[in-house]
Amino acid sequence: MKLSFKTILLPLAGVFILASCEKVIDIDPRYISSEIMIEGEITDDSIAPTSVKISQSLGLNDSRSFPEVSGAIVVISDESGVSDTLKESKPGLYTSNHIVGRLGATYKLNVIVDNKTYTATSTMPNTKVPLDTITLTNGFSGSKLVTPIFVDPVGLGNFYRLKLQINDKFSEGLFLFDDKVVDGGVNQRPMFDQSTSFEAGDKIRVKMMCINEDVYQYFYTLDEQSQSGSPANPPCNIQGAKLGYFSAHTVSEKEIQITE
Amino acid sequence: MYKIIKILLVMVLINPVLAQSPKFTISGTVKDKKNGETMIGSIVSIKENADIAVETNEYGFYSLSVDSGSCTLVVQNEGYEKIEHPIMLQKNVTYDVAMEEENLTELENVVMTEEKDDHNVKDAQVGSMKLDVKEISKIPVFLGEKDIIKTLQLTPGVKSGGDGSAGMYVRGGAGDQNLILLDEAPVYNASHLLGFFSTFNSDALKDVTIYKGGMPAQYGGRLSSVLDIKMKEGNNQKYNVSGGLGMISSRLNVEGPIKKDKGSFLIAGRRSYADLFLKLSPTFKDTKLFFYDLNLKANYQINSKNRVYLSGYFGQDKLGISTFGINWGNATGTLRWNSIINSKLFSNTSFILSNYNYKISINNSTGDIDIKSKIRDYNFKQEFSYSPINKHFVRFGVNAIHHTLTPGQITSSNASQVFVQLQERYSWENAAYVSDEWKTSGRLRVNYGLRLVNFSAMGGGNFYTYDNKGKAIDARYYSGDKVVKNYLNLEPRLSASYTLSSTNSFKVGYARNVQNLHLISNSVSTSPTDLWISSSKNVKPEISDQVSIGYFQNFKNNEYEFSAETYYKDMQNQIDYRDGANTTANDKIEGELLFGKGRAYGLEVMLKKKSGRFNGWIGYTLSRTEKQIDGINNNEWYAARQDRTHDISVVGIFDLSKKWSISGAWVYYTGNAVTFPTGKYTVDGTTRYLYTERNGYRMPAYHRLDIGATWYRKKTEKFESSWNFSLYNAYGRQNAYTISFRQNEDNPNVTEAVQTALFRFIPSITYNFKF
Repeated sequence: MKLSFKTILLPLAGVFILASCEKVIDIDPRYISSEIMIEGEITDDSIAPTSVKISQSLGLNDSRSFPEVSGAIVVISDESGVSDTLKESKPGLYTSNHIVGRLGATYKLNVIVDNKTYTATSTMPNTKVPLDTITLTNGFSGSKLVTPIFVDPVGLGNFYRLKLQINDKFSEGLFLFDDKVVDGGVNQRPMFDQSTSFEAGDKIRVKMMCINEDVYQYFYTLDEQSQSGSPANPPCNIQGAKLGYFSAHTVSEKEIQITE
Repeated sequence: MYKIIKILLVMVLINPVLAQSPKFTISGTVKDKKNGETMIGSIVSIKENADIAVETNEYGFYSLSVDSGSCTLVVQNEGYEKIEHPIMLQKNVTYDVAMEEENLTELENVVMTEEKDDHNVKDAQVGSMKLDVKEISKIPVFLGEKDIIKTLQLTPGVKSGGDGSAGMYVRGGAGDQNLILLDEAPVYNASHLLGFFSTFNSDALKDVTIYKGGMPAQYGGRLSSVLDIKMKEGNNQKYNVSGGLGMISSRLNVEGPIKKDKGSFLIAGRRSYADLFLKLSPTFKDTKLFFYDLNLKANYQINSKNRVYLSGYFGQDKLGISTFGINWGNATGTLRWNSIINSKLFSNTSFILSNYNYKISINNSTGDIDIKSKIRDYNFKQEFSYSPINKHFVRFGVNAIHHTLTPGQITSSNASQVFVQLQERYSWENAAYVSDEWKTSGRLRVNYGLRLVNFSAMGGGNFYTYDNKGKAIDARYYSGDKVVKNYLNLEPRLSASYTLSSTNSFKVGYARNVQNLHLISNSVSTSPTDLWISSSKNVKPEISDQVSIGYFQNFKNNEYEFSAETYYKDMQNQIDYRDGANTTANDKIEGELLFGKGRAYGLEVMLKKKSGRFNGWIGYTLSRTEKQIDGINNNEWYAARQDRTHDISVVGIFDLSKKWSISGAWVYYTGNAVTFPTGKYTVDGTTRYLYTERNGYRMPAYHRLDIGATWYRKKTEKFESSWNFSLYNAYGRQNAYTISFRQNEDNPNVTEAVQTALFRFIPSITYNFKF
C-alpha cells in the first residue's frame, strides 16, 4: 500500500499540460570520504545460509564501479559459541554454509578490515511465515501487479521484505510489508513496481524474508529516500560502521510463469 | 492575566470621562448604491473637525461622536464619488450612506486632481495588505484562472511553493502556518488540482486582506499570517449574471435581491473540464481529474438594527488513475447575526462549521479499500465592537472551537479484511480577546490588544508517552470527558504608526501567535495526504514572536506608495520528522517527530504605482529562515525548505485604450533549500544515496515572465464582456519542479541529476461576460 502521492502527481501534471520536460543537470556535490559498506545476512536457507558483502561508498560524481573490499576477516557466531569464519568466494563477497540460521536465535557478526573491527548482532524472528503463492492482478492502465499471498499471524510485530525477479533480472524496487494496518489474515497488498512490466512466458519469482524491526526500519528509510522531502540515511545496526546492516531472517520463495 | 485585561479595559473606558461638552452619535451603514454591497473601510469624517475620522467595519458600520450643533458628514472610498451631507445634531442620528462609483468617461481624465487614499501611511497596522479583487483580473495568471493566492504571491513577504503549488509561505512560515478564513470559517486546504489553483473563486469575493505581522487580536491560531477573505453579499437591487469560459474551467455567478433593499443572495460556481479532454485520449481514458466549487451566500435585513447572513462554500477535487483515486474537499458554513445594539455598540454572533476531508481509494480484485481522513470544526464567535469616543475603537469577544481530527481510517468492502483503526482526536480551542484602535490627537495611532487562548486536548482514546528515541514506553486511556493536556497562552498584539508628515510614517508591530493544529508534511509540495495533528502531551503549541518595523512614504499626491519593512520572527516548538519516519497509518506518529526552534528575518521593499493608465509594482524580499532541531544536522541551525535569499516580483498593467489593456508579471527567486545526496553506495546490487546534511543544497533559481492582454467589448447598459489572453512562462524557462537522481542507462556507474520542469509557454483564452 505504499504508494507515494508524488509518483502519481508527476504523470497527472503532465497529463493536463502537454508533457513535462526532463533534462540532466550538473550538481556540484561536496567532498565526502569513502565509507565501508557491509551487507550481512544469515538465513534459514540450508544451501546458502550466510553471506557478507563488503564494498566502499563513492562520491556522487565518481564514475568508477563500487570498490569491493577484499582480505577482510569475517566471522559469524551464535549464542552457543559456535563460530564460523566466512571465505571470500568472490572479491568482496564472503560466504559459508557451516552455520544455518534458526528461528529466534541471535547471531553475532564480526568483521575486521584494515585493523578496524565492526560488530553487529541480529535476532531471527520467532515464527517463519511462508509465502503460499503469488498472483497477478490488474494494475494501472492495463499493467499487472504481483500480489504475494501469505498468512500474517495474529499479533503485531511481523515484518516482511520481498524481492521480485523477472526471468533473470531483479527489480530494483524495495517491497516492504508490516502488520500495522492489517494484523493477521491473508495479505492482499500488491507489490507496486513502476519499473517492471510482464509479457507472456515471463517467469516471475518472489523471495519473501521475515525480518526483524531494525532491518525493516533500515529498508523502509532506504525506500523513503526517493519520495521524502527530507531523505535520510538508514539507521545502521553495525557498530563502528556508518553504512550497512546485519540481518538474521527466514526465506521462502515461489515462482510462476505467465501463460496468456 | 485577567488583571491585564481589566487594566486595559479601564484605560479605554476612562477616556470618555475626560471628554467635555454634550456629544451625540452619528452611526450608520455605508453601501454601494449600485448593488447594495456594504462597504468595508470607507472613511467617514466630519468636515469641520479634522480630528474626527473613522472607518467602516467589516459590515460597513460606522459610529462617530460629534459635538452638538451643525456639521457636515463626509464619506469617502477610493473609486467612489465623495459624499457630503449636512447634519443638524441635537440627538443621536442614524445615517445610512449609498455611494456611487466614480464615472470615468475618458481614460485621460484619470488625473490626480482629487485626494487619493493615504491609508497605507496613516493606518496603525503594519505588515498588512489589502488586495483589490477587481484589479486582479488584469494580472496574467496560469491558464487564465485569476487567483487571489497567486496574486498575493507577487507581493513581498508572501512566497509561492513554485509551479504546481498553491502553498503560501509568509515571512518564513511554513505552509500550514497561515490562517485562511472564508467568511470567518477556517479553510484547511486551499488548493485545487494538486495545487495548480486555489479554492477561491474570485468572482464571489469582496474583500481580501492579509496580515503578515502585528495581527489584530481577533485573529489567532496560526503562526505566520492571517488571510481574511470575505465573500460578496449579492446584489440587492437587481439580478446579475456573470461568468467566464476558460480553457480549463468555467464559472457562473448569479446574484440578486431576495427582497429589494432588504436582502440578497449570491451563487457562484466553478467546474474544471480537463477530464473531458482526457476521455478522448486512449492513454488517459481511465484518468479522472476535476474539481468544482460552489459559493453560496444570502443575507436579510430583519429591521434597521438586525441583519442575518448565511454563507457556505463547497469544493471537491477528484483525481484518479484506474484503480487508484484521491478525493478531497472543503465545506464551510457560516451563520452570522449582526446587531446594532446602540449607536456605539455593534455585535456580531457567528456559528461556523468547517469540514475538510480526503479519501484515498484503492480498488483491487479482492475488494475496495478506502482511507478516509477528516477535520471537523464547530466554531462559535461572539464579537462586540464599541466606539466609546472617536479616538477609540474597541473590539472584544470570545471564540470557542471544537476540533475533531480523524486520521486515515481504513475500511474495506471485503468483510474479511479488518484494519487496525487509528484514533480520532478531540480538542477545544477557546479564546477571549480585547483590542483597542487608538487614534491619538497627535501623530500616533496605536492598535493594541490581548488574546488569551486555552487549548485542551480531550480524551477518548489511548495516549502514549515516548522516550527520547521516539519509542512508546507507556499508554494510558483517557475517557471522553477527561482533559489530557491543557495549554494556556497569552498573546499580546501591538501595531503602531507615527506620522512624520502627511506623506510618510514609521510603523512598529509586535505579535505573539500560538498554533495548536500542526500539519506534518514530508513531501516536497503540499499534498492532501499530509497529516494534521493537534497539540497533545508530547506536541507542544507552536509559538512565534514577531517584531516588525516599517517606513512608509507616498509620493505625487499618493499616486505612488513606497514601503520598506523589516521583521524578525522567533519560533518555538517547531516540528519536523525524524530521519526515516514511518508516517503511514501510524498510531504512534508523535514518536516520529522531533521538536526544535526556528527563526526568520528579512527586509521587504515595495514601490507601487496605484493609479493612472500605467500601474503596477516592484517588490523585493531579502530573507533568511532557519531551523534548529536536536537530532537533525548535528543539532546545528540549517536553512528551512522555504528559505529564500532573494525574491523579486515586477507587475505592470497598462491601459492602451478603452478597449485594450496589457499586463506583465515577472518573478525571480532563489531556489528552495533541498537535501541532495553527496555520495552513493550499493545495497543488494542497487545504487543508493548517501546524505550528509538536511537542506544543504539549493534548487536552481526560479524565474518566469507571464504576459496578458484584455480586450473589452462594447459595454452596454445590459451586457458587457471581455476576452482575456495570457501566456504563462513566456520565454519558456525550464524551472525545476523536482530534481531526482538516477544511473546513466549506458554506464550505470555514472550518476545523473535529472531536473523535471512542468510548464513552459502555456497559453490561455478566457471569455468573461456580465448581464
